[in-house]
Amino acid sequence: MTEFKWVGKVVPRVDGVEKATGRLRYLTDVGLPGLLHGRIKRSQYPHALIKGIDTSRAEALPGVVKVLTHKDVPGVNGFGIIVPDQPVFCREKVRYIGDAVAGVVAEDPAVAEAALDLIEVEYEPQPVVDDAEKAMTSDSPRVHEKGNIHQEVHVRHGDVEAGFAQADLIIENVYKTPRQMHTFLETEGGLAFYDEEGLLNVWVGSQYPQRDQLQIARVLGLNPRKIRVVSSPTGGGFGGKDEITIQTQLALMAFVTKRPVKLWLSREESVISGWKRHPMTLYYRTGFKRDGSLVANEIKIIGDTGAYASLGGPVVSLAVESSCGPYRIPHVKIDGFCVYTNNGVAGAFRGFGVPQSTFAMETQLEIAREKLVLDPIEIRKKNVLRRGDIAPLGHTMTASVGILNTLERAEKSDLWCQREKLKSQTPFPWKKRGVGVAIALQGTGLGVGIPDYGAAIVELTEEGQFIVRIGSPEIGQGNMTAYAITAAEALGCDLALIKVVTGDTRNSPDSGTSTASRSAYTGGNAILDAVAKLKPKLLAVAGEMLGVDRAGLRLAGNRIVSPQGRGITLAELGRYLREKGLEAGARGNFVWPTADVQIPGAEGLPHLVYTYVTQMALVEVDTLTGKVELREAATALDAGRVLNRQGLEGQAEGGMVMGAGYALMEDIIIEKGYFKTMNLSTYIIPTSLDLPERHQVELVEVLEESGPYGAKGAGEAVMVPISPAITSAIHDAVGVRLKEMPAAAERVYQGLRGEEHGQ
Amino acid sequence: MVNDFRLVRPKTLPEALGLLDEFGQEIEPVAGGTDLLVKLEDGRIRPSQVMDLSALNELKQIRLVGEDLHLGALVTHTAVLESPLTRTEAPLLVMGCRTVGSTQIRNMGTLGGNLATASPAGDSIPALVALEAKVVLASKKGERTLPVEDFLVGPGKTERRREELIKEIILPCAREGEKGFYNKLGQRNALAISIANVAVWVRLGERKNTLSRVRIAFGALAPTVKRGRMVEDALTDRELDEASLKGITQLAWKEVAPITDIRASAQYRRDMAIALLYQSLYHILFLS
Ligand SMILES: Cc1cc2nc3c(=O)[nH]c(=O)nc-3n(C[C@H](O)[C@H](O)[C@H](O)COP(=O)(O)OP(=O)(O)OC[C@H]3O[C@@H](n4cnc5c(N)ncnc54)[C@H](O)[C@@H]3O)c2cc1C
Repeated sequence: MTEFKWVGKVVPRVDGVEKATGRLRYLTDVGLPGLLHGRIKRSQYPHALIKGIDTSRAEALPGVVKVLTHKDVPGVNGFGIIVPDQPVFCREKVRYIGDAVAGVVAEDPAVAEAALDLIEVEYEPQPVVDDAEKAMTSDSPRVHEKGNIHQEVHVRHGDVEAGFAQADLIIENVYKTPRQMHTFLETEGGLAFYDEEGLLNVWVGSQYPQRDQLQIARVLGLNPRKIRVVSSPTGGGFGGKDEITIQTQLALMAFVTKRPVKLWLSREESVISGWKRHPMTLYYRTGFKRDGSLVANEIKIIGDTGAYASLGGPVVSLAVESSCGPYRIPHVKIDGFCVYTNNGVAGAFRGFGVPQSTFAMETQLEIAREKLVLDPIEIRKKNVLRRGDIAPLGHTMTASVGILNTLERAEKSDLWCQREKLKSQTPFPWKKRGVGVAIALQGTGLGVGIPDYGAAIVELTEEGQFIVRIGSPEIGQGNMTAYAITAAEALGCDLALIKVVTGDTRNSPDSGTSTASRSAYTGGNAILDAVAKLKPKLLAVAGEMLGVDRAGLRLAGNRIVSPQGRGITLAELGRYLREKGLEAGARGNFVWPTADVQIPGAEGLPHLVYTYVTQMALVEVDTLTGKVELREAATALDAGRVLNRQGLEGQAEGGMVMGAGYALMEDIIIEKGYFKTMNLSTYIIPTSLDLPERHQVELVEVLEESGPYGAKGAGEAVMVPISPAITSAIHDAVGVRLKEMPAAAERVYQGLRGEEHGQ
Repeated sequence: MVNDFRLVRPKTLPEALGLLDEFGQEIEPVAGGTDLLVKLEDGRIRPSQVMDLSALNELKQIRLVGEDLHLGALVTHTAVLESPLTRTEAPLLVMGCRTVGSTQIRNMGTLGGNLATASPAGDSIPALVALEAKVVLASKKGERTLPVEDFLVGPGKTERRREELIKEIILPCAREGEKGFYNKLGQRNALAISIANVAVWVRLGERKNTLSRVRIAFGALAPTVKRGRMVEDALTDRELDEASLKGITQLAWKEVAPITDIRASAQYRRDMAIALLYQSLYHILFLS
């Protein structure tokens, strides 16, 4: 085995100290001289025609600098990663309660707020489209002219009816999943201003500054080179800052006033206007042989994307991709529909469609397993994909496949080995305990059909440091540390010599998003390419300086040394390069490998490289109230080689928590287009007292040849199977089979009362 | 958005009562601010004056007076948890206060504030009602004392007049043979508003598994925290086992009139009155 100096070791987070000490400020806490404050006037109705907008009274308010509407948008009045169907400011129609109708820029936040009430908008309310399935019918009112079905995906592989003909058992069910919110600490916000060079700066919490730059450019009708976007490393995103949040409105405010502006959403505004996880309805018909092997799956998935497309199409596509779980199923028929409604907006969210269909598929499997009286681990082992298999979407699994390894490791966890003992330890007679297991695969990267590319620049400074520049921003995931580790390992230098610059369109090359579990893998590969180009050059120059042959030279710590023990420091080399006007850096890049087939009409289907995970849960159910508590959890993760050990464990822990919240309590409730959960008093996420003290995390390193040192992505898969593991554990405890999440006490109580008892 | 207001900070209770007498209609007292700030922030109230009570040290005392415990209105939930006096003399109140919000909220929030807010879900109130506590209201003209149960008028409504402050709460000390249990069901284990709750305070009977005195208060199950007198009577002086407990606690159903809101349905809440009461009595009788 290779001995690594940095890869897989426990190292301090490179951005840890400044974040922990608070030296790094939350972007929205930062002020600027002469700062103006922006506010957004939002819709009054979930669905209405705009008959008139009168801003004159607001404009007359002392302290108001500018009131903006659609008329002030110089370029395209729209944004959206796939189709720019969301207006910066609505002109003829509002499609959800968070839609922006006007913006105010004022000297003072209170004045801006007061001015909002003075903007008069005349509406003609339209019938509200609040149910995605009804929205698909031809007589439904339309959210968009082109019709309510934004996108459809159809997968046909094998012969599904022939498959069912072979089945000994057919399980048929409908599943429903909640509207989860990212609940990042720092709500959407940022600053925009002109710098000395005349660039329009937009500083913002963002998961892809280069794409924001392009979207802002399209709205302003401006050369993207005149715009600089910098992503703030604070606040978190979880997918909710992948699409435009406030960038285009904020940029427009500074563009029009030529003054620095801050725009920052309150929590309530964030809730109503921001992206959410797609609620989905999933119809499943699954065929099994008596021995538990899967033979056929017929699936229909309807995703409620709300008022605008954003990444709704790809989200539904990924739900389709993972709808058969990490299993071999020869005969499948899968249909996915991404549907417009007036229910807020849904978009990217950690897991990206996979949590929804994994919940459904894993529950299908559990129901069959119970009927066939099979062991939960054995039925999964029997069906899981192995390398070289044909996946249900028809592509060949040519990359590493570690799902079996994670099952084998999870089977040896304390939770599983001691499950009978753990289950018997109930404190009161009305409490019952149960365990559950679930598995998942998550495609990493963007998949076939969406170009996926990464770049990195590595350069030696005169101080003897290496600067690593990668566009994919750090907003909490830990990718900066992974980049530093990868670079230090490849260069052979001290980790402390690496300085990472991310998330800045001017100072770091476009390397794509920090989403899709892709940034460590993509950026890492680009770094390796850059180092492969840079290192020989550096050694050659060092050889020249030392007057020795470069062949024996190596980089160690902060020096380049010869076998004879002679050497120069990196600082000396850096200065020499500068003096001689020699290139001190190199640019590396990486293009993702893709699968051998493509699903027509679906962006990004299928993937080739997947992360695999098994998760287990021990729950305790109060049989008198229905309340469920997660008592213990276990995760076995195949993310390939471990680059940043603490970072990966942190992802596994945070992911488990997010998946537990999804399973147990989180749901944004919208009725007739109006939000019923407006803030964190009613949107319930787990606290430390709701989470288990013990979560065993096992890192199963099945190396992926295409990844940096064999690494894959990890950010999303870790939140996925814990949810069905929890609902299966509830069934194990009290016999209630949930087909709808979250497992709130009242829902479980209803199950206990009978309606759905047993299955 | 918070409006502009004048902040006054009296140093003594008479000074505070004088201010209230003068400006009662426009002035809003604030203790820990954990309820008031939320209302100010979302514009539900727009007072022209806010009176900060935090300098009134005389309202922060916990004192033993004869057989009673006197708790000043400014006693925080944390102070209730930490005081040796409350731990021995008012264990039921300690249980209630322990479930309020989170550490930060308990450090700031006060008993007076919890009572004045008069939320049907307020977590210190069921203990106070079950303990038959009294509230002392003070104004420039003098003081009056009311049972907490009668002080509560409706959600957010109390008998407090604008010129009055809650001065203190008086409750009888726990006696030999008395025990209690507070059972709260929330959507999670911290920072949760009660879906339903119940406080039970009993005196154990001479015979095993009997109760000679029973006091029950239900929270979040009616417009105010509500005593359960019917079920109290039915439980008194009767030999109880698991089966009879199951049967009698069903009566709780008739004691409550809950509503449906975003947290739970009325039907579920009604069932929870029974479940939480059963669990509480089971703890008292068979587990401790
Ligand atoms: C995040 C969060 C979580 C919470 N969780 C819970 C919970 O789990 N359970 C629960 O019961 N409550 C909870 N609360 C509500 C609140 O913390 C409690 O009601 C607390 O006891 C209020 O006390 P306070 O001193 O902060 O009141 P304040 O906010 O200072 O005052 C509240 C009201 O009482 C009046 N008032 C205060 N003191 C007096 C007095 N001496 N005389 C007359 N009027 C007075 C004020 O004028 C105001 O109208 C929560 C609040 C928050 C913000």
